[in-house]
Amino acid sequence: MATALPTADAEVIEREFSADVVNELEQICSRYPERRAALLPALRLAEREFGKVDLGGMQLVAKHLGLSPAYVLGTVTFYTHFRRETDGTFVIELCRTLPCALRGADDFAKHVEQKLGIQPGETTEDGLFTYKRAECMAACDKAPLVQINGYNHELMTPEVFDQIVDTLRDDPEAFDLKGGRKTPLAWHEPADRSATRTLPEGEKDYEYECLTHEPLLLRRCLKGRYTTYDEYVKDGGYKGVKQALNMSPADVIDFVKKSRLRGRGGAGFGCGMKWGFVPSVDQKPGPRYLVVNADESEPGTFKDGKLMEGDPHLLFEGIVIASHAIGANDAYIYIRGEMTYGAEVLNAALEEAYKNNVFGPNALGFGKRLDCTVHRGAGAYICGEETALLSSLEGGRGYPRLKPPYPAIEGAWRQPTIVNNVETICNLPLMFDKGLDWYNSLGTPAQSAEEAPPRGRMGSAGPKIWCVSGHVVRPGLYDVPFGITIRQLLHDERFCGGIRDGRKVKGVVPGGSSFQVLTADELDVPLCYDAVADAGSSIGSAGIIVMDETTCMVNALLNVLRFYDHESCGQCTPCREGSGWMTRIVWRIAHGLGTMEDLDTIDQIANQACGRTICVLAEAFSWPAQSYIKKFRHEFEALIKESRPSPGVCAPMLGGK
Amino acid sequence: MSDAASEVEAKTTISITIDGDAVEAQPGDNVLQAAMKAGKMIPHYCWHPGLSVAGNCRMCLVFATKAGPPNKPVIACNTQVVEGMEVETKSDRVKAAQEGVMEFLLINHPLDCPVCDQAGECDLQQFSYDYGRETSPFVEEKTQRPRKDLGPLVRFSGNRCIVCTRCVRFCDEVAGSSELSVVNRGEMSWIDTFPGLELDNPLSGCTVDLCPVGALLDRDSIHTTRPWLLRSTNSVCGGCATGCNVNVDTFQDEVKRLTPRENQAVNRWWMCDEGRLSYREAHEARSGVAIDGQEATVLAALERARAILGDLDGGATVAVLGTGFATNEELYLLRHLSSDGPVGLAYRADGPTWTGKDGFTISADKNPNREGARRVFGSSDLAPDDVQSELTAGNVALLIVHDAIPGGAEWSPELVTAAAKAKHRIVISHSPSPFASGADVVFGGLHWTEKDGSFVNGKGRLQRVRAALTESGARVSDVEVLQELAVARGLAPRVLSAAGVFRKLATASPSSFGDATYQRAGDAGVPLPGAEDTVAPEDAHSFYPAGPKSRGHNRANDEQVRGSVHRKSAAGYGTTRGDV
Ligand SMILES: Cc1cc2nc3c(=O)[nH]c(=O)nc-3n(C[C@H](O)[C@H](O)[C@H](O)COP(=O)(O)O)c2cc1C
Ligand code: SF4
Ligand code: SF4
Ligand code: FES
Ligand code: FES
Repeated sequence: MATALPTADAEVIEREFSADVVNELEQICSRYPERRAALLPALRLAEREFGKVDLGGMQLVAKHLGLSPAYVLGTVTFYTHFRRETDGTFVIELCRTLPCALRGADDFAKHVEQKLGIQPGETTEDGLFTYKRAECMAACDKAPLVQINGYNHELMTPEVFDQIVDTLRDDPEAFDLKGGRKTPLAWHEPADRSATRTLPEGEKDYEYECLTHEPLLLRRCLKGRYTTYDEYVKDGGYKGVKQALNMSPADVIDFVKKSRLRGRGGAGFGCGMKWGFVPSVDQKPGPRYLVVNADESEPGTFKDGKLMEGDPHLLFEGIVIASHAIGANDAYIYIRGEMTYGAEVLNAALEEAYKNNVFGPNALGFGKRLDCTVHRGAGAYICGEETALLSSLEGGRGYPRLKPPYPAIEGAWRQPTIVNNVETICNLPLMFDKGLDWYNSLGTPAQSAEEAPPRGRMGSAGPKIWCVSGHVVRPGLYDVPFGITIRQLLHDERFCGGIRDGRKVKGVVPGGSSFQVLTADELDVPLCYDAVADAGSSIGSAGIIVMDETTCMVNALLNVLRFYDHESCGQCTPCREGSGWMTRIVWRIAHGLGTMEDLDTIDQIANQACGRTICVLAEAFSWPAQSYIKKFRHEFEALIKESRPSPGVCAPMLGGK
Repeated sequence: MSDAASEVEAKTTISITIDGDAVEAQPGDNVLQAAMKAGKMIPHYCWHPGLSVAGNCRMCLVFATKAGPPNKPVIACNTQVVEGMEVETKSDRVKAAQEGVMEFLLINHPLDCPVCDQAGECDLQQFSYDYGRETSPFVEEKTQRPRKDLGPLVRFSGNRCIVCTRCVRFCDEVAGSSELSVVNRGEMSWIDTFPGLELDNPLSGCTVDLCPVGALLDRDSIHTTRPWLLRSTNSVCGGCATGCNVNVDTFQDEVKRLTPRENQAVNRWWMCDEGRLSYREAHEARSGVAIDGQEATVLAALERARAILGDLDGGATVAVLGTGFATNEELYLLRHLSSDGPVGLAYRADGPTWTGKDGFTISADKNPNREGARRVFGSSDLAPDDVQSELTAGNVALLIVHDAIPGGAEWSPELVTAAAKAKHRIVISHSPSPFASGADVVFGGLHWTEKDGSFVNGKGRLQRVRAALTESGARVSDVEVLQELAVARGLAPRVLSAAGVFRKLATASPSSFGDATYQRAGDAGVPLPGAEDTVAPEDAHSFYPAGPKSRGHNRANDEQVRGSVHRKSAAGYGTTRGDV
């Protein structure tokens, strides 16, 4: 639940940044048109310098940025990923969201609680470990997943966990984790990984092996470290951008329109069309901004992180193309706070990019300034919503904004702004390098020319990454063009290899947990924007969550609802109140305390919330609720009629709201 | 320019329909504004004309054409009117949307109306009544949020907060101090200050007025009375030369609180904390009535005073001392009584000035009527020196001291000593006065909350002060006492009401008071000739009254008392406007 608020009255804690840090902060400020935008980075500095974000740090940051302390407090308490005053030396966060829960996160939670002897939110007596329940960290195929001081430790086993805890108990310096500052890369090297964990018997390191289809977007992401500038160029990188820069911005936009590239962030809006909304400089003078949405936090989605960690220059190349098209001189990559490692990779690669003149005063020698800044979030799913992202980028609580005006007209700092998903941007270099014909030949064709924009039947073109999590034999990323059916993807030996233990599918959520669930009868739906929409769901952010026949759908829904309840920003009455209400009802049903009327109430809550809020988070909890109940009503009714708590795979997930 | 284009240019309003009724809206207005200006209520919590649009409460959902996809409700507060737009605010589907939002607002609300000070003037109650459903299937446990004092004036009850952020936006956008923020997120969001720092800006009390529910309450008046028992009087604050329009709320003849009354020309929807608490001065030590230093009844005192005036020679010198707290009427009567005798004026010392981000200003001049004195006497700088020298020279037959400043003016000791040289001395004083000892007669003067009359604010606007308390037997109004003196001296035929005195004053000084009348000043005030403020009374009230506490949910009794209520704004939102 919401971050605890400091209770003690603050004396003004006399504290100061060293001259170097002040310098660093000023450097950061200079990357933004307003000082306020440096708030989250400045809080990260305070976190690094003082080991936590406490009241003194907040006051200090407020002073440096000219903000009121209350404003800073309000902003800090919106986010969950800052180290708080009460946190121990090692903050252990365990993901409990649906995809991880389907792969044993709840059992693992019990182990963690036993090993540490504390409950979520508590700190061990020696002040060494704080254990927190976390939400999806975009590594759903590698459950159980813990973060220790901001770094992922994937495919956890009780043995490895114990080993880590024991080692740190003996010698807190052992892993050099403090503040997550130094050489964390080591923990991500495959060599090192195998040293610290053993794969379950018979399981392969599928992430690197299962991509039997020739990967297009992920081809340089399979090394276990990032592709450097030199490697990228040697592999044919930074070629597409040259094509694009030789075209006029209008032609680039036209090219992208013709490519039929649709947004990969969830809404599936025509990319070229969105760019076309940016007003001319005559209509609206002043800067334009490109903002890359790297907040990837829709449960079941874990492609953007992989792209950034594996092939940052692909993203940078795309950024240059998009910036050229919309006339932006500043691009910001808003990366979710939990991706500590991803941010480090981006910053390291960014240094290379600047050195090689990809960015800078004369970017790629085309006579224009283009700067790119990595902006870290701080733990709030809602910041993936593009206007919430802008609020957060500007240094505030991640509140979605009223639309209109849309960001393309009035976005960051009230200037025209294009927000695009990482994968969307990563499509651009390929498209320009290999040409429209190639691009259009991938995926599914447009169904009718007239019906194209913005989301109509423009087909689904280009390469695509699918994130499969849950009960398949090989969860992971699949770089397979649109049009493959769910069944093929799940059951083909070359891909997911079927359902684990030879079981049957019960439900599949095709687009991330906020979308409607499909049943075992609906697996022949081709994975593309239109067909899945026709089936009453959406490919959303391509987070395919697979639930087998052992799954209790009541419990699954409870997990989903808890997530959205936890992540509602709380602005709009229907979402703030409705998400919690619904969660509590489903909690009751899952505990054998439900009534038949509850099912109607849930439907009523959904109807009262959908379409009446600032952003679509209301839909994000309503759609799953309505579809789970519609398609698996008998499961809900059974628990209610028999007044019995939910059995099944997710049972340990229960535990009160 | 083509004809068609100039026609478009010429049209200054936008025609829309609301529930089928044609409404002319102003360009730039949102649907909520347009509706309310046309006297149609669209329920809302977070929107306020003095603050930016937050659009978070979702109470103002309506259906409108030309505003995005059909069949999707839009929030009236963030939907601009466009020509030909058709708005529905009462259809079944709007009603369903309103019921839904009301239900959501109430599920975690403690429903503690019986012990809540806001009850009776609460938008949550009112809209539940007007737009809510009677039942809800909600049976879960409610969230718990803290209760605490946010600052010297403001108490917060977290469970009642609907997170509309009006209070936060006010501190950001008007007070400019940003002491408040929403903390946490989701259903555990609430409003807080930074630990150790208080909500303590010069306008902090306005957050209480703005709060549409009982989440922010005025610590000064909390748990002292029920709002529906309050009798409310439209008046003007005596705290400084800004002259904020206020409601003086009384219970059993005691002022319980002051709340701002909207006036776009003066104070918009705000008033300062100091002014808000200034009614307390009426409760501090007050001057009694005395004859020759002995406590006396008002009647006896009046008789003695009349006798003194009646005995004066026709040419005898009458000196007067007045203050910047006197009403125009009192000042006029003092001038009248002095004939051409010496006049001295005293003022409360200047204090700090303060200007909010929206231009709201607390005047450095802590006197409500310095400008009135200037207009009555031709100058406001009449130091008491003249009076003192005439007194010292032994020329003064009668000294009338009228000191309306709570706590008393700072008269110089020399002046007080010199006063002994006047043959007679009559003192009318709000607080115990140094002139009392040795005076023939002392009257207890009224506090401004007790007076009928008028002030002229620093920008030259004539505004009405109205007696919020019934006169007790112990006191009689300053205006009446002064008139009794004038009648006794043969200067006036009879005692008039304050309105009558003002008419005489205005007739006597047309260049200063023009054709102003009480009638014209009404509840909005009227700019006097040469005033910096030129807003006509008709334009001073927008369609939107100040906070819920002065919106008049509970003002039915006042309507009966005064029999005159202008409902310029939408149903349920009329401010009570006092009669002349
Ligand atoms: C609640 C919510 C969460 C979202 N989260 C993400 C996200 O994590 N990553 C993302 O790229 N888009 C996310 N989106 C979609 C963005 O609002 C936006 O549509 C997208 O970034 C646009 O980029 P695209 O057109 O390239 O897809 C989210 C939307 C909503 C309503
Ligand atoms: S719908 Fe929910 S998450 Fe979206 S803005 Fe409203 S309260 Fe916030
Ligand atoms: S305290 Fe009142 S004004 Fe402030 S957010 Fe809560 S309900 Fe709104
Ligand atoms: S990482 Fe755990 S659910 Fe996504
Ligand atoms: S008044 Fe329109 S959303 Fe609150």
